[in-house]
Amino acid sequence: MTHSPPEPRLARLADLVEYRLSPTEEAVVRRLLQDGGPRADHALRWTRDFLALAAAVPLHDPPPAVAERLTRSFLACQEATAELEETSIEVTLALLFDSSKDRELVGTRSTDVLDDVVHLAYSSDHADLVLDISRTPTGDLRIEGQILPLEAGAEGPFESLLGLDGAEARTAVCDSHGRFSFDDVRPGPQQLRTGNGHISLVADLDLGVLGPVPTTSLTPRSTHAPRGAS
Amino acid sequence: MTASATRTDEVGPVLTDLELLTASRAGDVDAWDSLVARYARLVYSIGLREGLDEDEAAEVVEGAFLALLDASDGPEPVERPASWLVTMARQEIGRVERSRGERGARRPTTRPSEAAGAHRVTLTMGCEWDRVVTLHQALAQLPPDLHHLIDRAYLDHARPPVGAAMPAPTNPDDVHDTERSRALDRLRLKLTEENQS
Repeated sequence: MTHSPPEPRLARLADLVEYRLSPTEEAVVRRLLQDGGPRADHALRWTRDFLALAAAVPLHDPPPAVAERLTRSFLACQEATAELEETSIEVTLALLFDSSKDRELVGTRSTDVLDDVVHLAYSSDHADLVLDISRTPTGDLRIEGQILPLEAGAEGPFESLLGLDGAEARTAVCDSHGRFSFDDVRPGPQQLRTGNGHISLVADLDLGVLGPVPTTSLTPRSTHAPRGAS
Repeated sequence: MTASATRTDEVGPVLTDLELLTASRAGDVDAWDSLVARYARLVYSIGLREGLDEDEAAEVVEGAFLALLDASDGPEPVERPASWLVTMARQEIGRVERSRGERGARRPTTRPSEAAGAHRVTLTMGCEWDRVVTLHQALAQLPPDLHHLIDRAYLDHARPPVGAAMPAPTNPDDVHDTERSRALDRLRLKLTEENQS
């Protein structure tokens, strides 16, 4: 029967690596390492790796308000999702501005034809919506939007759904400023629905594929299927 | 949020990140809070490490978690929430830095982690970030007391500086740091399991 020499404890190895031991303690640990053979060497290597990784990102506590805001956002998202599934108030947004067509019905946003971004602005009695649509290197689109409430009932937080009737919808939770985004959106017709539990704002987007940037237009609709209807 | 906050979800068997995310999507706010408690500290600290100020780092935490909430409902399943959060945090950091550049704001000359005397470890390759994530995933699976012990001794920015003696163990009989060694043994075992899965 063979007898394995005792290994130094990992805490002692960590203390050795970090120069925390007294000379006497260090001598004891080094003797155990010497006697411990490959297993002890392996334990020392693991300890060094662990300490390096731990030191790579020293942990700081975020302000408590961060967790509180995330809890509120989560609850609002749940409520908005439930409300979107059985929407009671639905508003179709009217297009006010489309930079791709170089027409400016209401001059609320600047037009820059050189920045490969299409700017859209929509309005309703309850809230305005602005969208920036850009093409990604893969040929897909990125949509960045912001909801601008005009009345108390249209205040956030909102959740947005992007999809086509009959297709799987994608959701985006708006931040505290009403901003949201969708990545990797395929060119083509899409419906954007955004709601806060009290109101659902709807816009149909025709994200075309021609040209260096997508052509975009709004097709008004009078009725909309609830989420998940297919 | 404190290190002890990460322990509140861990009574009995520790739920995996994926189980917490699935429960969150089903409307369980406690599961969501637990997921936030597990990783908000890491995400926030990554922001500070990359030179953001405290407000910007907090913005990164919110952006990353809200994006996780979005993605968990999307067509592509999120299989490793921690890894997903760190990837999203790095994207958010880039966005914040670009926004700062557009505003003409200056980057802090000293990063908080450097000011705290922390080691600067290069984490430029994806695999290195993966190892950080794997470490924190394994930590999240430890019993709360062991997690807390490792956190205080090795991860917290205010841990004893290199060269200083570790604080005396809570148990005065634990003169050989058995508890700390037990915590590291469990972590090593968990990491082995994580790497094999």
